[in-house]
Amino acid sequence: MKESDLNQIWQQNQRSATDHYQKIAPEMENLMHSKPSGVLYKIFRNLKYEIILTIAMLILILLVTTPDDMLFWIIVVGGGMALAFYIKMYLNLRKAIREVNQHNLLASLIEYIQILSQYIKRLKIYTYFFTPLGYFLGASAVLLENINEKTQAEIIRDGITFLIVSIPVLIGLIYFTNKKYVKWLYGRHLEELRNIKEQLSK
Amino acid sequence: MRSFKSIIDQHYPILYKIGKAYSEDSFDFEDLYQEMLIQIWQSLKNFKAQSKLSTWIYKVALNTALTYKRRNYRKEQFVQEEMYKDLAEYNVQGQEHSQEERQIEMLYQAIKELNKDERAIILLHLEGKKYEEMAEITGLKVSHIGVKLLRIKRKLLEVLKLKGYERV
Repeated sequence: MKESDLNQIWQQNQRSATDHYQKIAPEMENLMHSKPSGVLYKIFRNLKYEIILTIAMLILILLVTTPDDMLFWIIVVGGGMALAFYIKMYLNLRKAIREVNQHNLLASLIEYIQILSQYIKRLKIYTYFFTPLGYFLGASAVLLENINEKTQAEIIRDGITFLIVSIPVLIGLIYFTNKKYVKWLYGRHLEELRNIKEQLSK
Repeated sequence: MRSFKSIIDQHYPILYKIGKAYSEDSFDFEDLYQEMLIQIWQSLKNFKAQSKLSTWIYKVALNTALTYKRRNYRKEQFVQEEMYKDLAEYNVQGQEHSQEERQIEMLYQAIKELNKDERAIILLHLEGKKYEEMAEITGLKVSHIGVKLLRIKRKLLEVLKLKGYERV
């Protein structure tokens, strides 16, 4: 077996390619107007949904609070910052998606890995910080609502019950979303891309 | 649409070969082929003619293949089965026919044994691309391409030998 044999076999490819193309050519317009299924597009779509959801949640929360409440302004500032962050990431991603595939393979892989890493990092921040924070704030608000009507012993009992119930739930939630969900969605893919990049530049 | 169609009319073999080299089965192949078409269609307005159109298409198609994430067929296979039925049958028939087709299939099987980055380089080489153009597409230095290619060719020939190419 020589290299020239490989080239000769490779030239025979043309017929199979033509046969296949003749089959799909009539469907071309349908095919190209389908939604792309690449990972970046999925992240892009996720971000779009997150922006819509954040706006809806903000409106809902602001409807049940009043400007006199401290909570109102915390939501306005915090929610506004989160929204700005989402929109910035959305716009950056939209720009990157338009260009990323047109770079050379090495540059494209580097950019692709960077986008994916940033997104996973953001998901981790949300999982490790915002999820427990939101959970404890929400639960504390419920516990403190009737604090004046309770004795000290009842407050301690409720607090301990809350911790016993919530800590396993929270750990389970964090474990599932981070270790399993994120890794299943993007982690393995990111690892594979890093390997390809390493091997390409080796 | 017309210009896009005429571009693909001229360059469809590139997509076919990349699709075959980077897919695991016929469903996967059709999925990747479609993804490459979509990417070319969506990126076409950004093509600035700084490089040859074929070089640009290689970049877009190979980038799509390298970053392609295989779908979960356990969930989606049923839906896709109907959609790709004819094409899958066509691919299976193609594998069963002439010696010429068996040789090509064997070569693709050997190429799939290579790492993904190696597949890109051997594809470009088999397509007759010069080192300079391969460097432009991959982002590697010309000297680096030479060294890598030598290693990949040895590996490919070794795989073909192990697969019993002579018996085909």
